[in-house]
Amino acid sequence: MSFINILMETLKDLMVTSGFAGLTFSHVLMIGISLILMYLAIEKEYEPLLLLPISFGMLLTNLPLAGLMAEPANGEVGGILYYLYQGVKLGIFPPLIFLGVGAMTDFGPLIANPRSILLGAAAQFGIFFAFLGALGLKYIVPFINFTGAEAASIGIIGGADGPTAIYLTSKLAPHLLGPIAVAAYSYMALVPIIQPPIMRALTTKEERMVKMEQLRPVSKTEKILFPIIVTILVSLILPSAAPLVGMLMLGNLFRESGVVGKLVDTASNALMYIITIFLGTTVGATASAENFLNPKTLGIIALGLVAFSIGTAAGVLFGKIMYKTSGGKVNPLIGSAGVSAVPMAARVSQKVGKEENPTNFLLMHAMGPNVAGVIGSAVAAGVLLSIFGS
Amino acid sequence: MGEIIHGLIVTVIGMGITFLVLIILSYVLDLFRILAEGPSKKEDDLAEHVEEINPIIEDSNVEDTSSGDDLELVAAITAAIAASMDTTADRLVVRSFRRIGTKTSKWNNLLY
Repeated sequence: MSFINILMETLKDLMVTSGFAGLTFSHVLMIGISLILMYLAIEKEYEPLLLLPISFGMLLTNLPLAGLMAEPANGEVGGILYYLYQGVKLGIFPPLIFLGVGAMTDFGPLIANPRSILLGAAAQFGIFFAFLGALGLKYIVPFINFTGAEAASIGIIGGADGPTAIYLTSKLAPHLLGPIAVAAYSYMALVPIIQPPIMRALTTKEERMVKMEQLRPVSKTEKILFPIIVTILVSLILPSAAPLVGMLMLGNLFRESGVVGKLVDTASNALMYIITIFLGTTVGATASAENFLNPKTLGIIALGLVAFSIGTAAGVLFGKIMYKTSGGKVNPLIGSAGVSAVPMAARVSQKVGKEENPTNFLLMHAMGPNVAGVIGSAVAAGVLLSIFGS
Repeated sequence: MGEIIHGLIVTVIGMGITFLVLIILSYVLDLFRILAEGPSKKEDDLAEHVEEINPIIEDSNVEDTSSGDDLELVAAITAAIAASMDTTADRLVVRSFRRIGTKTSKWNNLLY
């Protein structure tokens, strides 16, 4: 065999083991989608903290033969993302993110105005509406057929709460994690665009003008008691919501106790960002071509928008009921904040209120339903988990 | 169709439990308010003293202050400033004052 032949043979072998040999059209398409998402994250700043790792995870998993998500087989170890993904699969990361969220959240506005919690419940209707929509979709579009567990995972997008959506989906329909996470975080970034038209359409000018009474000051004792009582109450009523609510409240107790500043700092900064990297990248990595390039993804994206819109509408409509029953003291605009998406949704209430009446300041009033929405969507996820889990 | 009916049942149960949990929570928080009633009143009293004041420290025409309550407040504020600045009340005029609302809460400093 001549030298040239050997050279050609070696180059051929190299070609076969290179990624190019395994590259298919769907890989290229997925890489394209991941690049678009990266663009949205970097250039448009759509939830970049999550969308950037998600989109890059998506890129990594769609590079053929790299095997980053490969399971261990034949005595060989698996890919790095496969191992990190276990934190999602086993339901570890979302509660840890909630620990950090709890450490950053001030439940004071909610404690000061307990009735505003109900708005956080009403806005969860979006979850169940989208859930029903997902179940009924096959009657309209015959080739998209969602199971009950899948429909529940899609509905939870309406909770507008990333960790909750990922937690529930990882338990009920892990193959849909990629599209659901992308839909949830994209729509959350779009809250300032999605919500205002719905809020304006459902309220009168007079209602939007309502100025709310100043909230009473909340004592430290109340703030310390709150996480403890919520944990006991929610966990007893709905044990399946305990991992999320429990960790959220642990983080909040750290914060309000005032004696573990370093833990608060770690939970809400270092730990949360570390977990965000792991969670985002590996959730993105579940978006393989076969999981993502599927008519179901289109269904998920459409239903996710429905979930957000209906949740907003339900919150505002409930706000109108409270406006009536309170004799005009409650501004219905704070209802839309009940979808969670903290603190973006509350800021939207503030902004829409201010457009109508520049001296109006709704932010703190909207924070009540907003943080109640976090608890509400965790409870709704707990219900869906206990019905569809296992 | 069976699935849809099951879905409706899940919806009723799901919304029911979500509301139940948050309604209970809401009433538990009412108990908080009762617990806090005493101390919170004290804090209200304190808040009244923390008015933001815009003193104009020069002789000028006295502006009309409409209600009697406000006049009392203006007198109190003028006296307080006069005392702290080591001058007399007749050399000061309170032009305007306003209550500090929740605008300046630490929430504004929260970044996340």
